[in-house]
Amino acid sequence: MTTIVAYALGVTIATKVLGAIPPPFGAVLGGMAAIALFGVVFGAAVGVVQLVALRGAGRVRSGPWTVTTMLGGAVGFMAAALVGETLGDLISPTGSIVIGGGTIEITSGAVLGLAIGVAQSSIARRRAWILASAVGAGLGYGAATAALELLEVPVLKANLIPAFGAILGLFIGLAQGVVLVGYRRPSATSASD
Amino acid sequence: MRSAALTALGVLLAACGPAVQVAVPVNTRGAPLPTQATCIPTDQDQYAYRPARLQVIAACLRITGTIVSSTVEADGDVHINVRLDPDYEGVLTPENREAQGNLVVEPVCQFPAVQAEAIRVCASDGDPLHDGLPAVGAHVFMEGRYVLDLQHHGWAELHPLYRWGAAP
Repeated sequence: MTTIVAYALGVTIATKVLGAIPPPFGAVLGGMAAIALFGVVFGAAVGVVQLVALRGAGRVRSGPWTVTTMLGGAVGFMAAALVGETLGDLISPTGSIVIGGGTIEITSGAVLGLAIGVAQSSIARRRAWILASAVGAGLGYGAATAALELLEVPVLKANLIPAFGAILGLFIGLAQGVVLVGYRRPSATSASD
Repeated sequence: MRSAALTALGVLLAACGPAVQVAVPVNTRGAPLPTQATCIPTDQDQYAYRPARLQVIAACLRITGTIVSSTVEADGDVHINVRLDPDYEGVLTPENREAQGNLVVEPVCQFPAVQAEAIRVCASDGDPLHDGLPAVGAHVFMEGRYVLDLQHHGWAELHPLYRWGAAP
């Protein structure tokens, strides 16, 4: 539940911050600087919210956790954009949207999750955290994109940005939760509950 | 007949590769539809992310019709379904049945995007369409790049939308 809230809040705040910056920012510095900023803000929100669970469950220093999540978010979103654009050029658009589009979205999400997982695992000290984050984010990113495009659910359409983050967070939280179950012990440094 | 020929041409070109300007569209009576002569593109083409999915048929096309629905998407675009006036029905392909027989119109970078590719692309868009968007039920003219969306069955779209206004 913490991770769902964290990711929903993360994308919502990040879009607000990026939207508040005048357009010349993008034109002058380029889209990659903008998406790095998006990832930093996203990571800060995710890291801070996850600390609520972390501090109650174990011994994680709040500063390093938040900073590494910010770094993971920045690198992850930049890499996801590059991977998505590259695959978009390589994969024929005339094929099945489920296979072609799905491959692009899932791979982009997996790259995002990989970056966040690598960054957070340096604090969480669990190598399986990396795999769980990558798999969860890949499935979550793909599911969020598909659900918001294909399903005509008014509440999702009306809350598109937090809904995207919540679906992404749901899948990452479930995957990370699987890791935590395997490692659960009194000194566990849990991020998902 | 001409509509079918246009469709066949579009499908053939879709198989050959993306982003080729191919034909002047005609309406159901065979008359050319207004394109570059009365319709001027803006700089928005470069902000349509994942461009390989869009098969360009004409650089600019003007249509008139009635707004049926309008929804925001995760890539920051708006998906507008337009019921075309009879003179313009020839721009539709059979694949537009997937859009309930409507023309799909997509102004780009209208809202904050959450998909990574679109965030990057839209952050570079210093001058997105500022006209606001038409309400459902409005009878409007619209001008945009006339494309087949190869990722969505090959249906016809105006993507991006350049401008719109009340139809005369």
